Amino acid sequence: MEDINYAWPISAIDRDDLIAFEKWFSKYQRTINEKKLFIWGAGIRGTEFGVFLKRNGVSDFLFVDNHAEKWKGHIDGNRIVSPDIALRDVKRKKAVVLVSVENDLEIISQLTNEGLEQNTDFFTAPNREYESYAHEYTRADEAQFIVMGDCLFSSISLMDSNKKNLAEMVRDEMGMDSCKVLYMHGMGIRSYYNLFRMYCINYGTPKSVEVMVNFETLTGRQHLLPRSQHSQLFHMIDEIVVSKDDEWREYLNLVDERSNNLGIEMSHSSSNLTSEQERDMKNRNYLRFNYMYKLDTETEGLQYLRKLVKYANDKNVQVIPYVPPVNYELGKKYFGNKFEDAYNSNLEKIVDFMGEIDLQLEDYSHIFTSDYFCEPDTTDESVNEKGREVLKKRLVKRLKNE
Amino acid sequence: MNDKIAEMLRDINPYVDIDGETKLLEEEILDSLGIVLLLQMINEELGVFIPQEKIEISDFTDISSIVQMVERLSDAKEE
Repeated sequence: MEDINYAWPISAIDRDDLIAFEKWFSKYQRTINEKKLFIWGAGIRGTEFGVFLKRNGVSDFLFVDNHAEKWKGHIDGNRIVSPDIALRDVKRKKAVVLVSVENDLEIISQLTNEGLEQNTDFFTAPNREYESYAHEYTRADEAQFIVMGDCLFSSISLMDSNKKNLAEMVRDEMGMDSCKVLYMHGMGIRSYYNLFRMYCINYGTPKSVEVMVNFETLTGRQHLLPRSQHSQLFHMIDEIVVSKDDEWREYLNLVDERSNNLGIEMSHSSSNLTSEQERDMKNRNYLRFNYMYKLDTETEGLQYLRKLVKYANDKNVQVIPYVPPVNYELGKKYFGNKFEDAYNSNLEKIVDFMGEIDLQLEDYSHIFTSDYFCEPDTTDESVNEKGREVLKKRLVKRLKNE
Repeated sequence: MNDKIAEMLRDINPYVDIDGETKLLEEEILDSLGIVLLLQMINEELGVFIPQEKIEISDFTDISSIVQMVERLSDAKEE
């Protein structure tokens, strides 16, 4: 087996992905016990499905990907093969395919054009995250409070007994009629601005809006990351809203353009590394890229926070910016004091920036030790049930101005 | 500049020996996240901003090709 491991580091899981997978697994478990299984899509979600399968006692499966450079690799020990190999077995009725790719329409079309039948030869397990977002966006149009964020609100740990994500917990606490939680992984402030503006134009203005200020989205290169643009979601919202303007249309075009020009496909490593070295290197580089850069306050994210604040002020909407938790203990483990120095330098710039636009920052950066994150070596802000309980209280308290 | 770039690469991948002869892509030492991280470091430590659209994958073949890329884009900026 070739030694390139294309696995994305996964320590937290998207609860909606887990639900989608469990629903599929309970229905088709017998099928995959009888036939070979190919997971189509050797990316983030494919890696996740691989983890779910192994936790359910299924370890004998392969990955398929349309990117030829991945065919010499594997994901955590499970080989990645070309479509030809998978299709040959599926057409012989010896195998089935589970499509893991988020934007699965293209793959569905590819497989259907090969003569395969959905729900017989291949399956999808959509998490309906875009539909859920759109539903949340449009329901209860007199909501007084809006919370905007990213995977902090969707992620849980596989070890959690309470599998409610933070979004559900906040909504339960605030009341479904008065509060909306709009979250999407990898989303940046320019997206929040455009979605918030469209919301106010079409559905009315809330009393206050909490806006995540995530260091990961202020690097200046965040738009190169996969799953950061959500073109499909924006088009979905575009079809729903009635009143639109040029600024919205311009952003739709930009999102489409950026979706076609994503730069960072995956991280992989030299075949000479041990799995621990590989994991360490991925974690280090992830932390380095997302937290230890030199923040430029002219970066798109902060400029659009400024625009969001101006827009909100004109509508008498209170804006509450918050910085999500960072696994600083992990940062210190890898980089010593350099991590804190770099992080705090950026934090200081953000605090000063908030002062310029007359906002107070809710800083949750250092509220958690590693044991509050999904795993001790979680590199992003995803927290376990213990962490979610604390964050829920903080977010709600601030929304209620207590 | 060769030494500086080598230092950055070792920071990105501290587990392998990297020198002027190392084929960074062929030997799978540099991946796409590593490339973007390297661009970030070049920007911060050498003051050269390298737009995504100005680079080719061949610019990351080895240390000397990276140095040539940086010099090329530095010169272009000054012009």
